[in-house]
This record gives sequence, C-alpha cells and structure tokens, in this order.
Amino acid sequence: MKIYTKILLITLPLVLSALLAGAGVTYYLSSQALGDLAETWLETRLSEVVSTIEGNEQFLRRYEITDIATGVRKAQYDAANDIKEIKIGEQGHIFIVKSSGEIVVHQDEKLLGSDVSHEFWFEEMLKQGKGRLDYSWGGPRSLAVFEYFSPWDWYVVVSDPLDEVYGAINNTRSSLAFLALFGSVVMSWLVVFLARRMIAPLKLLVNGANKVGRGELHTRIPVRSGDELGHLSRAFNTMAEKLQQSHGALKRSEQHFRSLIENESGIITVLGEDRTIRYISPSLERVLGFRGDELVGTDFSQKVHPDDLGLFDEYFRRVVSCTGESQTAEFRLRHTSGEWRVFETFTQNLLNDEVVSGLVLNSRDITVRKTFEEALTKSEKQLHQLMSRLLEAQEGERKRISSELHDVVGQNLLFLKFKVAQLEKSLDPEQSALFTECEEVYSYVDQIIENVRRLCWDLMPSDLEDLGLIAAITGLVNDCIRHYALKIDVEFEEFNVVLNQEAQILVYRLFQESLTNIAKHAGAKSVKIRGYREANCLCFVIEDDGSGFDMETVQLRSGSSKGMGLSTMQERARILKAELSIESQAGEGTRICIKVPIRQGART
Amino acid sequence: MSPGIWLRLSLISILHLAVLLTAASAQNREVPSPPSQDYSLSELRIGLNATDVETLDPHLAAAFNDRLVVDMVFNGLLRYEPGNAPRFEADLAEMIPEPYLKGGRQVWPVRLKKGITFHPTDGHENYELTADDIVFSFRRAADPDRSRYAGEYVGMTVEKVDRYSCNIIMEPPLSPVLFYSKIADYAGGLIVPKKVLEESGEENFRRQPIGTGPFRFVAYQSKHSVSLAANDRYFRGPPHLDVVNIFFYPDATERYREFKRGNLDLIRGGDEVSREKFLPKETIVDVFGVPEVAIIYFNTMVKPLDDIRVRKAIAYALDRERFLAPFDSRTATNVYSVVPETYLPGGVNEEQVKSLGLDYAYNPDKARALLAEAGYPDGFSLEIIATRLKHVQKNYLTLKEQLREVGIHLKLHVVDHATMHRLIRQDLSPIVIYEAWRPNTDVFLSRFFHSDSIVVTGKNPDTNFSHYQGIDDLIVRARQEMDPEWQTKLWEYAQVKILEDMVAYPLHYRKRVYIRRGDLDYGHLLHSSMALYPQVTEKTRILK
Repeated sequence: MKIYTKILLITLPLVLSALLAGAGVTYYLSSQALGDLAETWLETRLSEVVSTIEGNEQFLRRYEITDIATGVRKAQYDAANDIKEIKIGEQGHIFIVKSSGEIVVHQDEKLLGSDVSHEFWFEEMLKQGKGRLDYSWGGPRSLAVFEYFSPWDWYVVVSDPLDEVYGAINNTRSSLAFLALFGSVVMSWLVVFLARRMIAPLKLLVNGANKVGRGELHTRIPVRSGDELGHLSRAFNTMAEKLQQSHGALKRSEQHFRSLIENESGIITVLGEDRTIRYISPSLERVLGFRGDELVGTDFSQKVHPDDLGLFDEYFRRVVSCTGESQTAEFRLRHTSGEWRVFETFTQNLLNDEVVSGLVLNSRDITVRKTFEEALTKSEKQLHQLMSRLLEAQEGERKRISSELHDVVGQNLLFLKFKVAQLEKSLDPEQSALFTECEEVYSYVDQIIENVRRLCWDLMPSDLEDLGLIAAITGLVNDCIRHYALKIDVEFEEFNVVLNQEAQILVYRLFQESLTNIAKHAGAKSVKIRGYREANCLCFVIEDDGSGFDMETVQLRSGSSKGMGLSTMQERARILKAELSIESQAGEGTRICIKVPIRQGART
Repeated sequence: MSPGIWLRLSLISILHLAVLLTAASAQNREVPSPPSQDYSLSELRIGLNATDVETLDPHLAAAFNDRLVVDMVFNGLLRYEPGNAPRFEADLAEMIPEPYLKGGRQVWPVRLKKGITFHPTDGHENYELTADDIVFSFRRAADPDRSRYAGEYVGMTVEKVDRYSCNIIMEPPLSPVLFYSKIADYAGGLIVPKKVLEESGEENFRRQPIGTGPFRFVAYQSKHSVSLAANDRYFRGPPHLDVVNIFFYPDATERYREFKRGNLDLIRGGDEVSREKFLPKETIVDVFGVPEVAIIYFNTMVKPLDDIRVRKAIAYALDRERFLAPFDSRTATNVYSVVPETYLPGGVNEEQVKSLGLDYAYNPDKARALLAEAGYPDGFSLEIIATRLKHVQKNYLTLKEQLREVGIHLKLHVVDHATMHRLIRQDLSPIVIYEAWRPNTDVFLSRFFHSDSIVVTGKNPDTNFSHYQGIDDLIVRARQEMDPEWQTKLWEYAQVKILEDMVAYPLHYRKRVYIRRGDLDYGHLLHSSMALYPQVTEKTRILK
C-alpha cells in the first residue's frame, strides 16, 4: 500500500469525525444560545414597544393634557404609529388587546376589533399579566412575550412565528450539516491534496532515483519546502550533482584513456594466469592487424616469436611470481602480415586485484625504435671510429707536421740563422746599420725557431714520447705558467702504470685542452692538478678557482656555439674509454676529473 | 456719481414719467395700462390680482400684494433662501446666530455685515445700516401700534453691543426654528431705518418705504401701480433689472390680456386655467408653495356659534370636496388640520384626524340633528362679511350654499378684500373665511388661536376670529419646548383640541400660480417662497 493511501486512511476518518463532532456540538450549543437569544430579543422588542407606549402616555401627563377628550386616543394613535416602526423580524408582529379581548392594534387592519377573549392563550395573559406564550391563533405556531400596560388597559403582545424564532437555528442546522458536508469534502480534498503534496516530493525522489539509476544523472528534484523532504531533495540533488560530476570526470577519463588506448601505438592485454588473453585493446588491429575478438581466449604465447618464447616464459614466470610488481621485457610478436614486430612489454601483476584479476601487459611496438637504435648505434660506432681515425689522423698529421717543421723548417731556420751570423761576421764596422739589421733578423729567426719549436711541441710534445706522460704534462704546465702567469700546483702520485702511446697522447691532449681553456677563459689565478691511481683507473683532476660556467647551458648549446673543445675532450675520453667529468658552477671554479681505466695487459 | 449712473437715473425718471402719464390716461378706462413703448432699460412688469396696496410698511403689510412690494425693498437679518423656503441663510447678519444662555436668558448674538446702506431719499443720502436700526426695528415690530406682528415679538429684547453687533434676548427661550423665523425677511423681521422713521414719521413711511433691498421705492399710483428702481448699492451686487413696475389688475381677463399682448412680464395666475391655453407657447406657468390655507373661523362668543353643537353641525354640513371643486386641481388640496402637515411640522394628517373622528365627514342629517339638539331645529340666519376677491369669494359662496341645505342662512356683505380684512379685524363677522400662510406653526396657532390674538379684545389683537382660548397653554409650552419632536407633538395636540372644539374648519390650501414670459429668469429655482410670489431679486433678469 502506498504511503499516500496510508495517510488518507489514517487522516480522513479522523478529520471527518472531528468535523462531524464539531458540527454536532456547534449545532447543539448554537440552538441553545439562539433559543435564548430569540426570547431575549423578543423581550427586548416588547420592552421597546412598552417604552414607546409609556412615552406617549407620559407625554399626556407631563403636559397635563387632560382637557382633550380625544387626547388619550391621539396618544394611543401616536403610540400605535410609533409601534409600526418597530419591526419584529420578517414575519413577527405586534398586537395589542384590551382586557375585554378586543384587539385595538394589529398590523392586519381586518383584525382590529376582533374578540379573542375566548382564546386559551388570552386567558393565560390575563392571569399572568406579563410572560411568555407558545400559541397559535389563525396562523403559524408562534412564540410571544406580553406585558400588561394598565393606564390604557392594554395587553401588549410581541409575537413571532416559531419558524422565524428558531428559523435561525433550523437554518443553522441545515447550514451546519451543509458546512460539515462541505467541510468534509473540503477537508477530504485538503487531506488528499496535502497527502499528494507530501508524497509528491517522495515520488519525485523515487522518479529521480530511478532516472539516476538509468543513468540520467542530470536529474534534479525541485526543492519546494524547507522541511525534511526539502532537505532530502536537496541532499538528493547534491548527490546527483556529485554523481554527475564524478561520472563526467570518469567519462572524460574513460574517453581519455579510451582515446589513449585506441590511439596508443601499444597494445594493452590482460592475461589470465594461464596466459589466456582475456582482454586486448582495440589498438591491436592497428598495430598487429588482428581483431581483438580473434585473440581473446587464445594463448598469448602463440603470437610470440619462437626465438623469444624462452625469454617470454621466463618473463611470464617472473611476472606471475611477483604479485603487484612491474616487470619489463622485450620480445617479438607476429603481425598478420607475417612480419615480426619488436614489443617492449611492461607487465603488472594484478592477479590479486579483484577487478582486474589478471596480468596487465602494456606492449609498445618498438620495432622502429629498435631499428633506429641499431642504426644509431651503428652510426655512433662508425662516428667513433671515424673520430678515432680522425684524431689518429690528426695526431699523425701533427706528428708529420711537427716532424716536418722540426726536420725541415727547423733545419732551414738554423741554416738561416747560421747564414745571418755569418753575414754579421762579414760586415765592416762602418756597416753598423746593416749589422743592426742582421741582428734583428738573427733575433727574428731565433724567435721563429722558438715558435716553430713550440709549434712542434704543441703538435706533438717530444717529451711524451721521450720522457713519458707526467714529464709531458709537467712541461705543459711549465709552459702554461710561463705564458699565462698562472699558479699551478702539480701533484702526481707514482702510478707504476704506463699507458700506451696513444692513450698518453689522449690524456696529454685532455690536459692541454683543459689548461688552455683555464688560461684563456676561466680567469683563474691558481690551478691545482692531481694525478693518482684509484682501483683500476688512473685519476687526473684539474681544479681551478676561475669564474666557472653553467654546465647545462654549455651542454645545450648547438654544435658551433658549443665549441669544439668540450666535444673533443669528450670524444678523446670516449676513445680512452675514460670517464670524463666536468663539475663547474658560475663563480665557483671548475673541476675536471679524468678516470682512465687501466686495461689488463697494460704495463706497470 | 458716475455719468453712467446719471444716464440710468435719467432713463428711469423718463420711464416713470411715462408710467404716470399712462396711469393718468387710464383713469377713464378703469383699468391700469402698462407702458407699451420701447425702452432700453431692463424693466419687469408685474400684474397682480389686487386693486391696490394697503400699506408698504413691512411691519403692517399683510396682503400678498403689500408683501410682494416690501419683499423687494427690505431685508431681514436672515432670509428664506429665494425659491427654497423654509431654508434659512444669513442676509444682513454675517451668519446665522447660535444661542447661548446668560443669567438664565437665551441670548442670540448677531453681527451685521458692514457697508450695507439704506436707499437714499430726498432727505437722506445712503446711510449705513447699524445695530441701532436693528434695535429700533425689532422694538417697532413688537409695538402693536406700529406692527401687525407685535404678538410674535413678545419676550424679545434687543441690546446693542457695538455699531455692528447686538444681542437678541428671548425670554422665555425659543427653539431655533421659531427664533429664525422672527428675524428672517418676513413681516416683523424686515429691518426698517431708524433715522428715517424718526425724522419723517410713520405715516409717510407707509407710502414711501425705505429699506436695504435690491430695489428702492420710486413711485406709487393709487389703484394703479407701484414703481421700484434698482438699488445700485445693493450689498449683494447691483440688480440686473433696472426697474420693477407692479400693476394692479384685479380683473383676470384684463390681466391675462395684457400679458398676452406683451405688456406684462409676470402675472398672478390661478383659477382661470382655461385662459392659459391662449397664452404664447413660450409662457411658463409656475405652481409653487408656500400655499395659502383657507380656514373657516367661527366666533365662539356669539350666538348661536357659542354652542359647540352648532359649530359641529356646521362642520358636518360642509363637504370639503365642494369647496375644492372650483379651484385648479394643480394648486388646491384638502387639509384636515389648521396647519397643513405637508409644509409645516405639527400638522395633523387626514388619517389621524379620521381615526380620532375629528374629520366631521359630510353628514347633513347629523348636522340637522345637532342643530335640533342645540335648539335650532329650523336652523338660523347669520350676516357675515365677504370679500370681492374672487377666489376667496368662491369659498363664501360655497359655504352659503351648503349651510342653506341644513337650514342655516348666511347673508353675505361683499366688500373689497382690503375692507374685508379691516372689518373682520373689527370683529364684525361671526364667520370668517381667511386664506393665509404663516412662517411656522407657532405663528399660525398664536395668531389665529391664542387668546392674546383675539380680534379687538385680545392683548395683541390679531386674527383670532374665533375668540378661542383653549390652546393657550399648549401654544406656550410648544414654543418653549427645545425638543423638536415633543414640540411637534404639542402642536398636534393643540390642533386636535381645535378640531375637537370645532372653532375652525380647515378647508384646503392652494399653491400659488404665477405666469411669466419664457425669457424671464428669476435667478433661482422655484420650489416654495415665503414671500408668496416667485420673488424678484438682484439676480432676476430678462434674458432677451
């Protein structure tokens, strides 16, 4: 049974009973009150009539009008006229009877002079003098009040039919009955209306809930009251709004992820513990050419390259055994075209997840990347080889130029120097000007020889080959101190290891580049160089107190602006298979560390 | 005085000269003839059914024609609204006074409007009305030697307060309705000039009245006319009319003929209804109150009328309908008490009179029986004075005819109306039929039924032709009663007593009929007029 019906069944009988009881009580009380009121009203009218008669009678006495024979009649006439002005309801009337029974005043002139002495009620009047009558005389049953006015021997009667006296009550009865009926109808309607009104929000809530249940999350309940139902409606609306927001967010998220999944180059696969495919993303078709529904329910390993099955089995076992952890592997999967594609698979074990209860494989096609990586590796290798050869060629060229300069240009310059010395010696004393010229040329040649010698040193320090790396670096340092006024502390441990010639040149070049940069760009005052052995490598550290630089800024510069120095250093370190680290911060100097691995077989 | 006024006065003089010349030439024709020449002034010509005026002294004027003239010449402290009596409004007084009691006396303070002047005369320029004139006027009105209305002013004392104020003291106190009628523009309430009367004398004043009204007296031609001219200094503003000429045409044929010829603008109409159909179609017939009540008075002091049975016998011998028959049904209505209840409080209506058995319904047998009972089984004879005035005379003739049927023989001595008035006041007629109107019930009853008003022998002889003394106490008590309801009831009892004693037999009242040309505008609506004619005021004009 609906609440609405229950409310009606409870309230209607109560309301109707209350109304009927109220009407009954009202009728009873009203009838009592109106009955009393009617009699009082009649008595008041009688009093008014008697007062009017007395007024006219007293007028005669007050003005001592005794000598007019018709004076009393005139007074009675006036009194009768005045009485006509007094209305007794709609049907009531006043009449006056003399003690003889003769009617002397009556609204119906035909009754004037009538004799009522034989009427029982008249006899009652004569006995009582003043009182109340319930009588009938040639008309409807009436209620009358009367009073004897002795000066004129008048019985003054104020009469009103019972229908009128109690008419109000009777009218009230029917009115009350009507009101009760009407009230019942109205109250019933009101109760129905109120019940409907009360239920209406609940209905709305139910409908709203149903709509929300059907997914119509925009559904809102109009809040029409501030009562509990209003609060409930408001709460419902809040809930629906939140749901709508959440659903919207979820939907957007779903769309987002769906979009991601659909547009993802990878494939998302959910596998059971038995490797059966339980879900595979739509991107499958785009990536491998299969439709998702073709593969769902099949063994995933069927699509794995036979050569990678071992790897996949191992990977799968590892994944299964590590609940909740993520594992990555690369293996090939077959394309419908028969081509094998390389996938990098990231798997998360969600077997214990109540919702997923499977292994989620996120496989990304890295075939292209792999191809590029291999090409890049190959390219890098070639580049390195090229660089190595370039550097080797450079070094060879340096060596050849150095040899040429030393052997050819140097010898020629020495010969020139010798010739100039010879020329000086041949000059006469009066040829002093020429002698000065010769001296200058001699000096110039000397400088050229020095320059060439230094150039040769720069191109290929002879100490490196003759005295070893430390001596060469020391020479380099001394040269730097001499040319750039730097304070350089050098501290080399005894390595007991001899690097091959090629490695020594590379290390020497790293030192050369570093010191040149410090001297030219760092603005440093002092430089600290250390060399020591650490495990299987030789460590060389060059620290300065210069202006330093921002490594990231320099690293991000394009090739030309980056400068060749740093790249060359890195390339040399790579050839050396050394670890080159440069630490620098603006204003805080630079620290360059070169760790050269000591290869097995190296001489100690 | 401005040239315009000079011109106007000259024209008026010429006009009056023309009237006088016409009157002189009309002597041989026995009837007056109004001027028929063109004139440029606005003139109103009134034709009355009278032979002459008796007096133009307002305190003596009694006949309607006398009253008509004095109404235009004099003012009262209050006035009945023109055409709308009995409503009062202030006239010479600034406002309608309200009484207060001082030392047990009822005082009515009156303040005059300033700047009101009396008409100029040969000996007096316009002089201003003051409280002295008020004091003088009311003392004169209360003087029976100089006023016909002295009885109404007994108990009134007027004291001057300042130039424009006076107190009127009433002892005993009087109800407002009775007091206002005493100071209104009716009879004794009309204000006369003290200085003029003191210097020129009473006799002169009767023919050359001087008042404050909208028109001033110019000329009187015996049995011909009275001429009035506009009072340009009238305090309500100069009148539209320049001249008012009142002509006497007792013969209806002559009066109607002159009206039809266009020589009269306003005439007294009446019973010659058949003549009206010959009048120009634009003619307007006015029928209005207040009416004149015709009553038969019996002298209760002379035999055989001293016997109530004889008086009742006469009453039963009379049939009101036969008295009513000769009159225009538009104007005449039977009355059953001496004061017509339609117009005044205190009247007793037909129903009540009949219910009391005092209507004396026509019953000649009962009349004869009463006569026999009184010792006159064969009737008797009486000599009475009758008037020549037609409509009153009709009543005398009807009376004679009806009484003859029960054996009472009347010998009528027919005289002109003014003579009749004089003779009846000399108590020379045992039966008098008198048509009159009085401003209120108290005046009616006092002047016709109070012992003080008994003709010749009364304290203030007036018109108590019946020598009646039976309601003196009721009249006085009613006069002093402040409660209007009780006052009215006392008047009713007084009239019941009159009927019971049959000292007077009420016949009928007749409204007044005046006939005017269509373009005559009275300047007010006409419902009822205490002046007994439509009233000519400063607003009256001829629209042409």
